[in-house]
Amino acid sequence: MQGLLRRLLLWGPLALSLKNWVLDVAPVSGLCLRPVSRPDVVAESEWVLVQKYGVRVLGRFRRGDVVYLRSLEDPTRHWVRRLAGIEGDWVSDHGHIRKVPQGHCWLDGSSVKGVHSYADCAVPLALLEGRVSHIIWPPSRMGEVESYVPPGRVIRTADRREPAARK
Amino acid sequence: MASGIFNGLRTSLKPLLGGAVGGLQAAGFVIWFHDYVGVESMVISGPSMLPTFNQPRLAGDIVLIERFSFWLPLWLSSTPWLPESLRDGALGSGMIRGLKRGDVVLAYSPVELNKLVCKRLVAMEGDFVEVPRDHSALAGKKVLVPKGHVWLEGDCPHVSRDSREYGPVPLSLMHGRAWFQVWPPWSMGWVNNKEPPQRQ
Repeated sequence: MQGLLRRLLLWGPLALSLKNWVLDVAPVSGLCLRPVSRPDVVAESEWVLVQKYGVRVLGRFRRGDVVYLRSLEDPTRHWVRRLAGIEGDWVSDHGHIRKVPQGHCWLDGSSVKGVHSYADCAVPLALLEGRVSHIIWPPSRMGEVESYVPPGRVIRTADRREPAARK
Repeated sequence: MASGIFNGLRTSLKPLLGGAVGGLQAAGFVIWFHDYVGVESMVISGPSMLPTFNQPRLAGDIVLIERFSFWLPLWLSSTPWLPESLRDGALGSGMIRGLKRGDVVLAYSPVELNKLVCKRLVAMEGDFVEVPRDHSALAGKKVLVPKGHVWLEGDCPHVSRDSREYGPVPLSLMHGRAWFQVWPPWSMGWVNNKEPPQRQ
């Protein structure tokens, strides 16, 4: 018992730090992404692999990534949402065209109506903690989560280049 | 003979491995300490907190900050196995001090990535804040601070870029609470955490 406690104290902080800064697994509950194509869509009670090193340490994220970020309402909880636009982009939000404020990013909302549905919104970029790269459970849904920007979501990117696909 | 070489390698590598393992464990502890206890010194720059900090040189005051008084109550309040009476106290009114109105906090800026700002926490979730008429975006409005957010304002309203411009700041962006000033030597002492005059 004492040996176990000692081991916990010696390895616990390292394990926790790796979990926070390098790689993490997380359950997804209550949030569904806009259904695009499997295995992109991450559903309730699935477990995902979150890569934190790229986002927290290197600061790399792209439009279309599924990101893992601290919740706006509760700092102890996290959201799994798709990053649609970054600061300076013009995005379409249910027919309105909005500019993503400086220092913020645009997250796609949930497509599932009900208790846990969230609208599209802009959140500060500093809340981003990781990128969801794979679904690891259940086995039937294992696979890579693709980075995908829904067509027509980003009207104009911040650096003034014309987006590739135009209707 | 092969096993002899292997054993020889093992005995010579053992102290090296032991050192590496110890180093990893120590690194893990250092990172954990930085993330969850977070007692460190920070340099305040900019005039937004005059006259509390940086008077009159406009830069260079050093304060000690800490993070545990913010994280511990949050974590305690979210654990289901803690008895109800302890949980209420954990949120800052009882045993463990959380973030209070009047605290000087460091937070990540919502408008500039990777930038830390130092402001005073003026209002918490559920409070109504009356924004003074002369400031730009939210001028004259009464803003309700939503759940999980706080209202930050610099002590020098004329030059401070704060919640009056970018709205309530989510608690998730908080980086620490300033509790003691160490530089310059003539300003050394506890950071003034007095609650500002009511504007709610």
